[in-house]
Amino acid sequence: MFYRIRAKAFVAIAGLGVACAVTCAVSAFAAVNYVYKAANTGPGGMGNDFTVYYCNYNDSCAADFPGWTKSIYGLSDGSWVATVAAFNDCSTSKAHLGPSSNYGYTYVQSKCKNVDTFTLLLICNTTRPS
Amino acid sequence: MTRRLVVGLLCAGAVGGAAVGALAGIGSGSAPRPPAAALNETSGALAVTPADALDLADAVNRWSDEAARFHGAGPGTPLPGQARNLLAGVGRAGDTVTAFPTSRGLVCFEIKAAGTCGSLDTPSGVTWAILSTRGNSRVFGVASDAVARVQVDVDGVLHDAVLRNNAFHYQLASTLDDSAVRGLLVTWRDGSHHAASARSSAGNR
Repeated sequence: MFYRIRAKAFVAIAGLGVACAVTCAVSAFAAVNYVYKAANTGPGGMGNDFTVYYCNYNDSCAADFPGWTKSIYGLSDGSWVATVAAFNDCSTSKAHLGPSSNYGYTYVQSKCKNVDTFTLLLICNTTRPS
Repeated sequence: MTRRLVVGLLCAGAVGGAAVGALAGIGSGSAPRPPAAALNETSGALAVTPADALDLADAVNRWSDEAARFHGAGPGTPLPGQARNLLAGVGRAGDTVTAFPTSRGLVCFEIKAAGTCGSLDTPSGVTWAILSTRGNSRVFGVASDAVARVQVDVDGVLHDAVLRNNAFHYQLASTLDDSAVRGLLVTWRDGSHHAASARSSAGNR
């Protein structure tokens, strides 16, 4: 009985994953911007979007003051796909990650981080199907 | 009488034309350009803008919208139609570094659509980023015309980056990621040295 329930749950999760992959493939060009963090963040502080079962891309993060910020594509197993850290001596510091070659097939998570030495207003966003 | 009218019309036309020309000149001259010859040459723009550059340009438009809502001036309007491949076939993955300017005179640059935008009008004369993927991390960016050499500080040891066409690229060892990068040492053509730290922005201002 226990195994049957687990098996059903597995089938349901797998089905949802397949549905997501199909949705991602279909809606790759119908996307909306999605801000998941907009708050003062101390050194080392992070924003996380752990929502799974949708594909996200075009991750970026910004600060209200010149500083180093990092955008991270993570997989749901905790490993990372790619990260961009950048500093620009202008009013904003941005890092951008383009469409992941994995998206549609893996459940990616977005993270951003203040990798500078002072508190920043950290604004992080990603994109997901509309 | 007729001759005076014709001369008058010609003069009025000339003055008007000059005024329009001057205004047009002011308009075209007001758009700042990044101080990088490879980005400003009349030739060299790609006939077809790469998809990765267009993808970054989409993000830049989003950042500009955000900036208006959150904190004022953003990177400006991206100009991907002026994109150039500044470096090609560099690093283990044969990277191409593509760059284009914005209406505010910033430069946007990317490898495989991963990148950012920044100003070259900085104390170091460079804008740069670190792209990390598993076992394949690289430091890359764009340098102003003043820059003669870019060295990457990896755990306290300086390594020369490839520097051509106002772009630079350095491939880290496969065992390292962005945490090993402490910053850059930038040498200008006048012999002066400028540090750009990867962890403390104090050296960048």
